[in-house]
Amino acid sequence: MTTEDKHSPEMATAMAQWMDQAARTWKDLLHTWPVPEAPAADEKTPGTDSSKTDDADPLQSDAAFKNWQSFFQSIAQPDPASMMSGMPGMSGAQSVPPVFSQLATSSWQLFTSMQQAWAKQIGQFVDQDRIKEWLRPDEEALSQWSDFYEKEIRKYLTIPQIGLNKFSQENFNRMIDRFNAKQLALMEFFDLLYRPVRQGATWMQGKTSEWIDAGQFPHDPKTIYRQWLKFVEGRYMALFRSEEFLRLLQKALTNTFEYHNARKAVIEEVSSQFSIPTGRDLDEVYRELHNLKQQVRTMESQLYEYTAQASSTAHTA
Amino acid sequence: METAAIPIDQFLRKLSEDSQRALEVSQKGPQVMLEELDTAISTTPYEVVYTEDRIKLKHYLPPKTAVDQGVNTPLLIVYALINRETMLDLQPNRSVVKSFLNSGVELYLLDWGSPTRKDRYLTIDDHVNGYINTVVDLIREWHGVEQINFMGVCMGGTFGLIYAAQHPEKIKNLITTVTPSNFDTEEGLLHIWLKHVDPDIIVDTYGNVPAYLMNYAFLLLNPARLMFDKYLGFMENFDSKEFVENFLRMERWIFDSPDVPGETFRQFIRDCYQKDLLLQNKMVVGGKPVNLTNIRMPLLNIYAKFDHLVPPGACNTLIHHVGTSDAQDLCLETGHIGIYVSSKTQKEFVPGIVSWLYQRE
Repeated sequence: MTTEDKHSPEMATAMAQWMDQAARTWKDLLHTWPVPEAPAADEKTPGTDSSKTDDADPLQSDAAFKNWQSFFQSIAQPDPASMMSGMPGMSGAQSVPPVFSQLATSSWQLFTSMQQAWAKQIGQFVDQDRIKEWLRPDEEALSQWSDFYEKEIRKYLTIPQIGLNKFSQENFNRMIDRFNAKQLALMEFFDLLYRPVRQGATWMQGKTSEWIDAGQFPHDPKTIYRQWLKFVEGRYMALFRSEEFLRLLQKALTNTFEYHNARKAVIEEVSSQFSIPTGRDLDEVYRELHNLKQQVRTMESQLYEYTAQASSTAHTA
Repeated sequence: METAAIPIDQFLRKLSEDSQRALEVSQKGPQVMLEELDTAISTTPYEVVYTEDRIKLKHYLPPKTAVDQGVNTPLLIVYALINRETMLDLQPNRSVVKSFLNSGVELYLLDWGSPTRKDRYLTIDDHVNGYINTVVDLIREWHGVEQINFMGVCMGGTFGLIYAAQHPEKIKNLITTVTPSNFDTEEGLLHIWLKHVDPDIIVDTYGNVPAYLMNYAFLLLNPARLMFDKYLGFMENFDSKEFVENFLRMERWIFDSPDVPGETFRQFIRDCYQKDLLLQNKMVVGGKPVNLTNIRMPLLNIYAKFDHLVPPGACNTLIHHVGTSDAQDLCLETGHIGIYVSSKTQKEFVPGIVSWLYQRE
């Protein structure tokens, strides 16, 4: 599958078929659900009509199912808004289907492109020249995942919250967001760190052929290990001075610290609910203590100078 | 190197020998690990003569068997805030402390202890003009001398330079060992990395800089050797009790590291690693400038040729920036830690310092 295929009519048909299948499955499942029994006469709430209760459940279930069916079909249809408009209680939700559709399509595209990359690599596995390629880090897959998170998921975690718990919810969302960002940054960083080891494996294959061709294959396995170690060490030294390493190091550190701070904010909020002194409270006390100690030290030093001066004056006199 | 395409017979023979050896090690090794092992470090007897907050001043007296080399002025050793001073007394036969004592030098060693959250606001000024100045004054008072000898280790040496520049009247001779002073170099990875790290976000996040974070950084300096080859070497030799004990001592020292007070770290990274203010005489500590030309006492600057943490380029320009003509470099063919613990430098390091001090006694 090529990049163009991702947006092809076949792709859309496949998605629509999947949605339709999902709707049918839910329908079958729904019909297998037992209808809840009516409560006993003495348990009924005063003033309610038992006949209404008995009839309402299947009707409501049916209505709920129809909503779901329409919803799934609407996602699969080219004009979801028109489908949704006929649903009771969904008249204000015209903007929802495109979001779901977009999310599902993006997820599908990510999945297929990663699957495609892996399939391509596995297909090339037997090709010796392609082994090097396969051993290479799949930077594309990592950056695709990173892009996907940034473009498709992160925005849901940064939606402004409303109401009494606005700040708590925002703090919590921020912690989740920073955690994901940290994990992604660390993944990229550790992948880069592993690069010299992968290069070492490839280099060793070439070196082995070279030794065999030259009739100089070492007797001692340790010689091979030492050569490999020297190569990998050299690669690390070069990598650690590269712009790419410094950029990813900075990114990994910054994201780690940001997650740490976001987590701290959530913990501090919880602590304050229980009147437990937070780190910030302690730091304020320690800062004050530090300032007081410095003042005492300065005064001690002034007193020492003053005493020395007074004593010298007394001696002179 | 050989002539056959693949000397498979010889290769397999060697592999088989190695496997045999590995089998022996794997049989004997676990027994060694289960035995009572002597992995104690810092075993030379000392007395704690002063404590303040987290710091301790250790006092070592020369044994009666010491060969007096004629150095009567007490020596204060100030270690870095990173890792611990126990490295100077790592094992009985490789101990800088013991070597000084055996040469008749009366020794004081500053133990910085383990900073807690309350130490996060301590600055370089608090360490230099606070703790160091206090212990220098105490030693002067106890010995009835105007000046003492001062030896700084790594970052402790940088503190020593700042102290000697601001209190030159209290220091008789200054010795800096693997001390970073020139930060305008790209010889070492730390010098490169720290230019790209924002100390503010680290300090604002953690308060004190966690030791584990610095340990990661140190391991990252040479991952192939420090995370892989080192442990492979251990697996090859862990049937030897002596090897295991020494290995564990070193391992214990490496990973028993304290956090670094946040504000000190912030200033050290900003002013030294990122702005290189020290050699330019532009650094300000405690509201006063640090002018290296005030260092008029004799200076011995020792560094290691294969130091990957404080490379020669970070040390070897110092003597041209101080105010004394009696300044001397001594480059030893070892690494950052090897200068104190390698068997080879044991014969050069302390004897060299003692001889230099004796000439200036």
